[in-house]
Amino acid sequence: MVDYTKALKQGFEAARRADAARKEIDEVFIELNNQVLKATDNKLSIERREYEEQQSYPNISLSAFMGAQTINVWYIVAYNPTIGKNKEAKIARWVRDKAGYPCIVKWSDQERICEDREALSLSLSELLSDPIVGQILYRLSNMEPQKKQKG
Amino acid sequence: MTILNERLILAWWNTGLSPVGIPRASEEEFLIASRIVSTLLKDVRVDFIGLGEVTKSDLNRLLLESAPPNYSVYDGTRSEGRTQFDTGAIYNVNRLIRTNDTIITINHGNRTLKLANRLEFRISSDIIPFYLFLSHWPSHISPDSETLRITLGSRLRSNLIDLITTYKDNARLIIMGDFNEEPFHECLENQLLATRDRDIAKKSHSYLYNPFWRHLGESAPYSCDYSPRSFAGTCYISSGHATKWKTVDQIIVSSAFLGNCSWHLNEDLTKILYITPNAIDENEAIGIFDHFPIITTLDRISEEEVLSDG
Repeated sequence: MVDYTKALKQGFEAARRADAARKEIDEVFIELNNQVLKATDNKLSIERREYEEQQSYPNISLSAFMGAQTINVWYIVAYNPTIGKNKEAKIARWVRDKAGYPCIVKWSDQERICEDREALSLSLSELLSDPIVGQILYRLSNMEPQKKQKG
Repeated sequence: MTILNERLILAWWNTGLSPVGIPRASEEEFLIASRIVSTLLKDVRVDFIGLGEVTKSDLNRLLLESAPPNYSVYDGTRSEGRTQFDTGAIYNVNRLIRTNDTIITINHGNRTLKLANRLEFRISSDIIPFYLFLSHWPSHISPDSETLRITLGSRLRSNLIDLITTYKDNARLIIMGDFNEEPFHECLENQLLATRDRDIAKKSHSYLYNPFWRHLGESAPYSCDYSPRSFAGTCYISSGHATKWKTVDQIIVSSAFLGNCSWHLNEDLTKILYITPNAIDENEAIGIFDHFPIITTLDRISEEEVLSDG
């Protein structure tokens, strides 16, 4: 006989662990954002955001062949809160497992599969110190808000 | 009637030149390696060769000394903390257009594991890309290495799922490397789902087909009156007890190449190449060479309608 009670308990335990992992991952991003805000005098903020995108295929004829589909994609984005979120920059792709870990950070030619909190923190730290990402963050943090025109 | 339109030959060789990025080859050994790569590219006409245990400098020298002018290097070597990526490739730029490449790592705490270099290629005659994964997984010397290889198999599988979901039967995936485990190990058979069973792989694009199941034993059969020189794997381990041979180098392909797209695996031309000159002699590894190169062949086939009278 199938042991549904055992399966149910396993499901509850998996849900509990996934919930704990999600909270832990949220904490990592809150800590990252707090430090970035502090270091830039509130001129740079980093968070995760979901976008709806067309499924990308290598070329038009293949898109026609496969059919157009939209998918939800998560990114790690940066923006300058003094300017607003309309000038945000996507600095990495973000993929999280249903169970919380592993989560994946993809940027440039790198794809880092992070199995725990420490690995995620280290990967995000490397993302920030990447020279190309650094250039984007520097530019964003140095943007000045446009003065409102009189009249 | 079927017509062969195009052939793509892919190879993998763990050179032994610079394990974990530390050069160890003498000049004489490097020249042997150059000759082997030259044979593969010029005589066997390999279009793509994945190379293990190389540095950037090894790759550039091999390109210079061994490759025809229409070949280029992919340098996948990189240092990540204490982890050194020691894989790269030399490929025919007239046939293969590299459109993307990624270094994939698994990070456990402050430890980094090499999962694969993922390369995306277009063949000039074809619109659907080929995804090629180069892997060199931790050896048995590393602590907990078996658990690590099982995790690597599972994570590589997850990485393939996106491509399989997108392209379904047309997902053109080739996974090559030195996995430091044989085809029957948990990490390859159950985690990566690289099966020996062609029917299962052909029917379901969730499975991969591992043609190197066919290369686990002696290369030539024994008989009392004829005993040719025979080898029993891709790698010779002099300290081995029950066997000194292991088939740890493999090229694994997706379901697409088993009749689900115009490109077909040519299994006759998927094999271990016992060409290492002077390297493995009388069952003794000489110098730094303990692996043989392996190849696989993909043929693009079209069906020609047979016109009948009346």
